[in-house]
Amino acid sequence: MVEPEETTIERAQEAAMARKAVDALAERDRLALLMREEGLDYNEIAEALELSPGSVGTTLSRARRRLVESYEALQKSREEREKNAAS
Amino acid sequence: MQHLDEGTIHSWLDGALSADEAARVEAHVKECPQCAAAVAEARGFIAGASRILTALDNAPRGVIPVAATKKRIDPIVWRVAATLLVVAAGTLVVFRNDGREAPIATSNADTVPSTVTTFAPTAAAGNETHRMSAEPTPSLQKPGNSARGTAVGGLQSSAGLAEKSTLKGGATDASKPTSQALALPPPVTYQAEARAPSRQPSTSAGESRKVAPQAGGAVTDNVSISSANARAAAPAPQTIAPIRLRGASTLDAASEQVHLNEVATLRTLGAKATLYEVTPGDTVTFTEPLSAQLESVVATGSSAGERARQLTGKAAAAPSKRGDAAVVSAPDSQRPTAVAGALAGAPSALVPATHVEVANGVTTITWIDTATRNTLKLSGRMSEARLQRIRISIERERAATAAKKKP
Repeated sequence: MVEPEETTIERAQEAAMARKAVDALAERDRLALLMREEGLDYNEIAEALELSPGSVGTTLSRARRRLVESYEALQKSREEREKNAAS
Repeated sequence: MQHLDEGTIHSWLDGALSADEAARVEAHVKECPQCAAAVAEARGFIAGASRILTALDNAPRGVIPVAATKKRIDPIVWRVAATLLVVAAGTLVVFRNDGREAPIATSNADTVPSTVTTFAPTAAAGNETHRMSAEPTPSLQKPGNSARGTAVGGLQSSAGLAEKSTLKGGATDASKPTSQALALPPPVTYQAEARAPSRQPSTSAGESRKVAPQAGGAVTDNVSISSANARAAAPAPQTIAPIRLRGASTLDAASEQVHLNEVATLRTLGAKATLYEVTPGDTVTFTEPLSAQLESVVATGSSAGERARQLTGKAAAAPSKRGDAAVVSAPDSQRPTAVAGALAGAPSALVPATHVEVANGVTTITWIDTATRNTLKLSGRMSEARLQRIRISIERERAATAAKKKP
């Protein structure tokens, strides 16, 4: 079964939730995550954030977990609102 | 070996560990199911985080430190450069257009005075040729004036005709530029012709111009100078002397068939003046009397008035209204009556020129219409040869018109 393509509204809703999840992160975690997404390696991130290279992995793992958990929470909340609206 | 911490797992998955550490972690993950599950969870977080960040329609900027970013050129520099480029391009277009239009403007400006300058040389006043000692009636042009005055006066009279009369189509603007003038040979040959109007009848083949006005015979006006010869004789650049080129057009056109375009007609007391345009910008004035009785007098000499009065009783009553007019005293061979019979059938090519006058570039031919006995006058700023050809065309046209009127 082929899933239907996302509509523009759905993509916009996902973008809004992603923005919310990113904004919910701590400053250091958010910066470390965005730097890594832009292709910087651990040494560059450590230098920019004035961290030790060994702690960059820990910061990124924490940021990723919190981001995903935050996003999933927002997604669950939206699904509940839509369910309530439908009922 | 202790279990792997989450930071080490992410570092291993991101490839940030050294080769030794990576090998050690890999070996441990293979042996430790708990750490293997942690690695699987970490992979899920990495993929989830990457998907969420990709979903951001507008990722936050400025997260990279200044040292890591490349220097960019200030946008204002690009704006200034674009403005300068537009201004330079516009200036180039304007200058190129000016250069293209300049020759056109020059040719137009040169064409305007060409009519005056070409036909009003300072020495032209001495070129007046009178075959007859008396002038019949003053026409639109006054040869007795100064060179400049005559030339300008001729233009003004033509303009006056156009204003007072009904325009029939053709433009009378003498300054109208013609492509013919631009494509014509240099004027050296033409000037020689204009300044040395040899009207002596000649039969030699080497003569450049042959005019044989003989009674009873056809008037032969041959301009033997072809345009190719004229070009070879004076290969001057055309753009140097646009005024003279206009004169050369007259020479070439003399050998062509004359197309008369009646531009305007002016009726005055006792006379009718018709303005023909033979080529764009070149006009001739044809004057004919409206009253046959008043205009049947031809002036050939003031001293011969008495004899003419004796010959023509009708003309003897006329001079009371024209004090300056004299009566015809022409030799028998040139008298219009001698060719009247021949002209009845073909009046155009057999009419001799009884009076040719050139003053300041204005050639005037006066002859007698054998059918009506009227004095006709044709004047224009062109050579006599061409004027004679135009006269023949006018005669043919008049004969055709008269033939139509007759039942």
